[in-house]
Order: sequence, then structure tokens, then C-alpha cells
Amino acid sequence: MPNASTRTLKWFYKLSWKKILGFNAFVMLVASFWLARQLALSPTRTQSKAALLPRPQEITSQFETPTGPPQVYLVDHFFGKVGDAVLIHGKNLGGASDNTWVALAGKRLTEADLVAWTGSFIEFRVPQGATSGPVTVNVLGQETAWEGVFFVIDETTPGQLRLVADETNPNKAVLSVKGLADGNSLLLWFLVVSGEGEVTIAPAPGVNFSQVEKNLPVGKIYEVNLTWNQSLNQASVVNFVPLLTVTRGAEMSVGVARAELTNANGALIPLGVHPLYVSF
Amino acid sequence: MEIMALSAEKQWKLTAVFKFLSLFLSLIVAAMVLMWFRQNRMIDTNESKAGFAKLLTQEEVRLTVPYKQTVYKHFGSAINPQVELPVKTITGYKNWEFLIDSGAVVSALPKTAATDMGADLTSLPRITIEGFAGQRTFAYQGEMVIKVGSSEVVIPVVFSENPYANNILGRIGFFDNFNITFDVDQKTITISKRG
Repeated sequence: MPNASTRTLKWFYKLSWKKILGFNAFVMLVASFWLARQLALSPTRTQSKAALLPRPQEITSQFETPTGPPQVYLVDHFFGKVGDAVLIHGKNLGGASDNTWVALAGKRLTEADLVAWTGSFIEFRVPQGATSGPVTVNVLGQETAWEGVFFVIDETTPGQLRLVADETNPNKAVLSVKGLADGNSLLLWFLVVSGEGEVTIAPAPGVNFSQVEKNLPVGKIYEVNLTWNQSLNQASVVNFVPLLTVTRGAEMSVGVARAELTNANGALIPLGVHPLYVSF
Repeated sequence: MEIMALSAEKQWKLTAVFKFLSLFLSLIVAAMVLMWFRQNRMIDTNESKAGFAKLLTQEEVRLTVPYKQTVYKHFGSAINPQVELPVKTITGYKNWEFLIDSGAVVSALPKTAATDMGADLTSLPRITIEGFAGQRTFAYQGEMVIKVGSSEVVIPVVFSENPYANNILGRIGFFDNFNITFDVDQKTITISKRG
């Protein structure tokens, strides 16, 4: 008497290939019907893969026809390392075109270095291999330059300024300097970034100063010229030495907008400002 | 003779197994097609979508925080999409409040936060960020480590030169890694991530 498994096997053995193939064909037909229905009902993919590819940002530019010669009020910040963003504030700057260009220390910036260009400001990145010097803008053949000097700095630049707010009085800050080297005079611009009120500047002991105020469309400027006792140069090799005390009104923000340290021969010594202490 | 008989016995059994397997495989393929169809149909229905999505994506809820509401003078009560998250600083994790802002490209912190986080601003690339009304401010590109639930996440951040800048959680690194759900009924914000 054969057992159940043998009986089952015999049943399968006796089943003809014709029946097996017929059954399989029927099953596949049923499955393919559902498959076809599913495919027919699924929405057509219309999203282009191209939309997912990252695109490099183009220069933001809208050419504004100049109403007069170009003017540059301020290059902000006046210092930067390679790759840093810099803003040129001005008027009648037009826009990025074949007939407009910006030059740093006499070298024209390429399109890749420009980020944005409008009638009132230009944003660029300090290019690789850039050197310190004037910033020039040429719009439709008319050229202008910022009256200050832009400094390309790096981690080895010894000259540093700091505008550190007083811990007890946030409206008061001390401007100190490190790495005066053989510098004997310093021209500074303090810009009222926001708020209204007066700024009072007082020199530290051993520092002589003169002050001029001017109003620019970007804000009020306090231009300060400093000279000092040469003993400060030696002290500034290691430590920050105080030069000025700056007092502003409440709700105001004041920043260092220009700094040119000059030695007896008239040569400029690069200066940078720590981002934490560029304004207060 | 005995060997011949054994061989014949094996042969018919093999044929039987082969025929069985043929039918069985055909049924398996059909069953898989039907299951796939059934699963897709279920995902299409709202009721079962959540359950299936959870199974398919292994979504893991990381953090749920209650709504914070502010009464504005002009608008009355409104939701403030703010969350308090632990941020890694040089003295350990500190809880900082962030505004969840899908309109911001990148997360932002005031420059003073860089000191707490041990970031040297002088070595970070300086960029400009555009604020409300197109006003441009300088900022420094860095990274921060935050804790979402029990997970540490490194996300890009810019340290704004504006000392009054808000702590913001923007799109890059946050919105593209987490699902942020505002639940009106529960009055909660849930930050979750695929496992």
C-alpha cells in the first residue's frame, strides 16, 4: 500500500505536460492581466531628471542704465581672504555686461568671481592669486575707483584691528591694534551701519588724532587720522594696544569701514579685522 | 535488474517533482504579481498609506515638540514654529531655540554663537546673505552639530555678522534630511527621519 507522498507524486507524474503547460499559461495570463492593468493605471512620469541636476548660480544682474558717471562710495569689507565675498556700494554701476568690468589692483575680475551686479552694488569674491590694491569699476567706458585700498589678507597677515565692546557699557568700544610693524599713521573710517545718533571718538594716551565727518548714501562716516608714540609699535608686536575709544548712541551699530596703516616711506601695511570685532 | 528498477523508480519520482515545481513556481509568480498590485492599491488609499509608508520607509519619529504661540498686536494669536534643540558647544550640549524657516536656504546663527561652538570665523569663507527686503549681510559658512531626539546631526550653518540675527533652521541639511510635520489637531511639531 503506497503512502500519501508516493500517491501525490504519482498523481503529479501522471499529469500530462500538456495540462501543466496549459495551467501555467492560464496563471500567467491572469497575472499579466493585473500587471497590465496596474501599468495602465500608474501615472506617466513627467518629471525631467534635468531639473534635479544642480546648476551653478548665475550672476544676479539687471542692467540699470546709468544716469551719470559711476560712483563708488564704499568697498565693504575693506579686507578679505581668497574666496571671501566683498560688496562695492555705489551709484550708476549699470550691471554685468560685455562693456562693464571690475578690477582689483589693476587685474580684471572674471565672470566666475562676480556674484551680483546691480546699479547700486556689486558683489564679488576675492579671486585666487589676488593682491591688495585699489578697486576700480568701469561702466560703459567710464571708470571710477574707491578712494580706499582693499587688502587681501591670509592667516599670516600680522596687522589686526579689533573694535571690542565694553562689557559694562555696550555703547562703548575700544579700538585696538596688533602688528603695527613700522607703521606711523593710520587712517580709519567708522561707518554708522544702522540707527541714528552721534558717535564720539576719543584717543588713547600717546595717540594724536584728527576727525572729519562726511555723509555718504551708505551712512555717516567718521574719518579719523591717527599718529602715535613709537613705543606702541613695539608693544603691538605681541599684544593688542588701544588706540581709540568709540562711543555710540543706543540702538546704533558702528563698524570699521576702512583702515590704512602707512609707514614713513608711504608704504601701506595690510590690516584685517576679526569678524567678531568689526562692528559693535 | 535491481539497478535498472531503482533507476526507473528514481526517474518517475524526479519527473513528478519537476512537474510539481513547475506548477508551484508559476503560482508563486502569479501570487507575487497580485501582492504587488494589492500593495500599490493600498498605498493609494489614504487610510492605509501611513501604515504602509512606515513599513516601506522605516520612518522613525525623532522629536515631537508642542506649538509655541505668540499674540501679535496686529494679527492676534499665531503659531511660532520654534523648537529648542541641543547644540554642541565647547562646554557640551546647550539648548538653543531655533525658528524653523523653510524660506531660508541655510541655517543661521549670530556670529557670537561661533565663539561658543569653537569655530574660528577668520578661517571660514565669508559670504553675503540676503535678509528681509533684500538687505545683504555678511556671514561665515560653517557647520554645527545638533541633536534631534537621540541622533547627532551635522548641518551647514552661517554665522551672521548681525549680532541680533535669529537662530534659524533652514533648508540645506535640515529640510532635505528631515520630515517636519505641523499637526494642527495635536498642536505639535514633529521632526522625523527615514531610518
